[in-house]
Amino acid sequence: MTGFYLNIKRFAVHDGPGIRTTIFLKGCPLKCKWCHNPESISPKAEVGFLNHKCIACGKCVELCPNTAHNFLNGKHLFDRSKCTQCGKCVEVCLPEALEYYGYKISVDKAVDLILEDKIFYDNSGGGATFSGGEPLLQAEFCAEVFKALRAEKIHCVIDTSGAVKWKNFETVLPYTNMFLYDLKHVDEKRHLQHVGGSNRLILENLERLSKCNIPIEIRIPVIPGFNMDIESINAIGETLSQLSNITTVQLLTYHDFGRSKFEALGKPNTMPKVKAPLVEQMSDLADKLEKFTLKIKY
Amino acid sequence: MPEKFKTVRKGLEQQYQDIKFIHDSSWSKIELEKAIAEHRSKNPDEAYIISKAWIFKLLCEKARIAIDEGDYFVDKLEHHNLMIILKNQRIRDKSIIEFKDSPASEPGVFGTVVDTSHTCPDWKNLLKYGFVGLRDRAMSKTGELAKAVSMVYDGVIALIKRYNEISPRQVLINLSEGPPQTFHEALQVAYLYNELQEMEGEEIRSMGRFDLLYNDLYLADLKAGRLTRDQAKELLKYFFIKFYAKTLGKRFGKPFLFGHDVNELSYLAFEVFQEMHIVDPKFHVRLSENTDKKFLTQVVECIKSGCTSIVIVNNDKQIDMLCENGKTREDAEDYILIGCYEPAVAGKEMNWSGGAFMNLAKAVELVLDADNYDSFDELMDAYIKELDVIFTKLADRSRRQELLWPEVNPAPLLSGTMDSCMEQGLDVSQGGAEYNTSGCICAGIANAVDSLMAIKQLVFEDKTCSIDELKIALEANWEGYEELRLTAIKRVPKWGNNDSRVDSIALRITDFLGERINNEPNARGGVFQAALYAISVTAQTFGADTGALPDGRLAGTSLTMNTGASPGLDKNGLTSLINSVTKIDLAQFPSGTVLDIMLHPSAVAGQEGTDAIISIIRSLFAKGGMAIQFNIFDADILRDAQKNPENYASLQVRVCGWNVRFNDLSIEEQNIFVAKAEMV
Repeated sequence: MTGFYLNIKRFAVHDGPGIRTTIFLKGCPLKCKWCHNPESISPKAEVGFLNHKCIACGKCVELCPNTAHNFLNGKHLFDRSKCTQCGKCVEVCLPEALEYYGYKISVDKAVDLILEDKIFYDNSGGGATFSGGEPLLQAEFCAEVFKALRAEKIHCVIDTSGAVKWKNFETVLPYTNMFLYDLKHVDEKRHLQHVGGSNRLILENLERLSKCNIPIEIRIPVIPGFNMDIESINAIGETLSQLSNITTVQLLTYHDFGRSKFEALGKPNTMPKVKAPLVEQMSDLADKLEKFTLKIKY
Repeated sequence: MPEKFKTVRKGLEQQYQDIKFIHDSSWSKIELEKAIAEHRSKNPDEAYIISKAWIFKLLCEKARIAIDEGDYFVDKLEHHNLMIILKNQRIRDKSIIEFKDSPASEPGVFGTVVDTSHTCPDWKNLLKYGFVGLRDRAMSKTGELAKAVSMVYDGVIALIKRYNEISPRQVLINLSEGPPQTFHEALQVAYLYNELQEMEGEEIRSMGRFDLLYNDLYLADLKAGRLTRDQAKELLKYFFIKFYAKTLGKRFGKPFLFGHDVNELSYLAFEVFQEMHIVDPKFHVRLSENTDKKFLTQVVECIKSGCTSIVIVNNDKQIDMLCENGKTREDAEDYILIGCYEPAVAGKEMNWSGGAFMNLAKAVELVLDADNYDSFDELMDAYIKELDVIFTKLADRSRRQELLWPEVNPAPLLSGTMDSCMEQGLDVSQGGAEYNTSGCICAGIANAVDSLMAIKQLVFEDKTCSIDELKIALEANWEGYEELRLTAIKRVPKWGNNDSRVDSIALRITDFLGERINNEPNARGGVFQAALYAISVTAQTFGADTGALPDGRLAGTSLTMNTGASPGLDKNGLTSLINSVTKIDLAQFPSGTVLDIMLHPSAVAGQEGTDAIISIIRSLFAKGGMAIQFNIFDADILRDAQKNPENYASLQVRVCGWNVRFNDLSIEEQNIFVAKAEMV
């Protein structure tokens, strides 16, 4: 069995307790407007093009079997409709203007790679995290890797959007020590508008998961114009206050660092000109949520 | 009574600029020089150590002094660097003769010097005997050294009395009669001694195990009601600021050592250090399994707050390493760090750790120039042979430098503190210390390993280019070969990423170095000891004389500092960097290794960040790492600091053996830090 991943991050300190290795799996059922890893959305391999790094050497034009790369008046044009993601152009692109997103990895390879840093997990109470994308779209792969890791006493975390069938949760439940669970909004209409899908399944799954006696850290991306208003925040607080096993609520401040990646992927920027929330606004939100006897981090 | 430190800090920082020496009956530079010249012409056959002691005493008795009534300490003597000038003259004169036919250094390849920059007196004896006790001990013995020692300490006592005549203080009266009895007196001994030993011509590169040395006196003062905790903090601030005032952050700082067992003074000193937020002195920490977690947390918080001059060393591994290298366990347990990262037995070792350097990267260039090779193994064998040739030359030259030492700079003030010197009647320059080791600093490991890996892959595996094409590209400093250069940089695995293809090359080199260098006899009855790091000066001077390298480095640019990956090339992250470096048996480098860690502030924010740093340190040490130092920066902040230096006056970075303000670095050096910070 293989997993399909985007990136592996070592010394990850924001994806669960301690020092961790996080594997970002590719493919996501949602299309959040603020997504800062747009290359994680498609479940297929993609080629990214960063125009500002291109030195117009023309190597990609020579090598592409499908004439997807062309130069017109010195300008590099990348016709994605012709691209078959063979990756030959990425191999020869030394200035790294072309990037490849999406690699296969076997269970054994993933386990070996994670175990390289065991001593750091042991010393910090850390471990391994599957994030994404939506890792539970590849629940069986996650489960196989975790199974092997648990035998080595490694702490295992799933960072999920919740927008998958409950049976996918069941697949990983026996091997998972903790869930990081995204909650963006409890209002279904707002959710549909901004996230590109209903939140019904997300809320249902959260409720079921909260009865499984596994610690859950809720993560709320704080997005201006979406969920920073008092009604939205109160509704989230109200929902969470009725659940068990919620250890903490982490507020994730929106930032606009991922914007250039949309361009690299030839996708429209869905959040132009939105500024990050201020520190004072974040602490204000934290205060509001604390009233629901939740432990807040931000 | 001096004023509150914070109200006079600015003035104290400038205390060594335009000192107002007292023009009374004491002597001008011309008068001093005249007296010295007369003495030496009248006594042409006098042993040089006695001449030196005579000059030292003359300066103490006759040179002008200055006293700041608003300072807790006295220390200023207008000695015009006469003894250092004399030392440098003698080194120059004797070197010309000694190294007429076989140069002491080959530019870019290796270098040797008379190393008077890495010394540490026996601080325990200084505090136990005081200046008077050390004088009396010398007087009870016979021989040239004893005579010279009693002369210099007579000089010190005379100087203290002169200070006291101008500015009567109980501290001075007590120190002119016996050993220090209070915390204040002990600090006065430490600083005055520091000044005077440097006047004699040897730099002090460790102020000793500070918490261990001074805690008893501090506690006794508290108990007797002579001192409050706050007053002790004030004293320490006046004391520490002198080390900054002396260098203004532009030269090597003075290390103070703490731990591994900590006490009240350990906490107090770090509290003061953090409050002062200062680039000098620098604090080293011995960390063992048992070191109090609370203390380690305080140290890490201090690093996070921007005091990046702190080096943390692996206590238990350092002790084991010292034992393996001929020290008794009892002595090994009392180790200090002399200079940057070099462990040595406190008060008993002259480790000459900066006496010799060799350039591991240049050897790649030499091997490529010398021949053509049919396989990588053949080339690698030739490389190892080249290292052997270089070290053989280096060891010969370094031994000759050692033999010059008694001729150019005997050190009675320093020798007078050491039991072994006084028992044997031998000056430190004659091998009088208990342990007499010689360092061999091996610089440029990352460039050497990455270059060899590039040759292996590009020439012998992928056949991207022939060895001749590669040589032509290097000859052209990669000009016209940008594609090949980028291939070397981006498509070849790099040291520091836990990749066994390249790490195995590093191990072959380090195993050879350890085997070849350690235990090679030096000229003072001791042995050579390998070190694996490069401070920025070494990296730059060697780099200036090294051509373009197969790792993509351009001719003349700095080599990579220290033990880790080249800037920005440890793409696999911090844990992989540590996994790579600790594959080396670092105990093969008893003269020191260090790992530089660059972290992004967001990675280490809050209590979780502090815990992460502690886990990194603990993991590194569990894997055999010896020393670690941190820079915690955001690349954007560094770039902003380049643009708006006025807003970042206090931003400090750890360059290698010392800390400097970011603003004081050259643009080239600043860019290295930005490149590193961009990767985290």
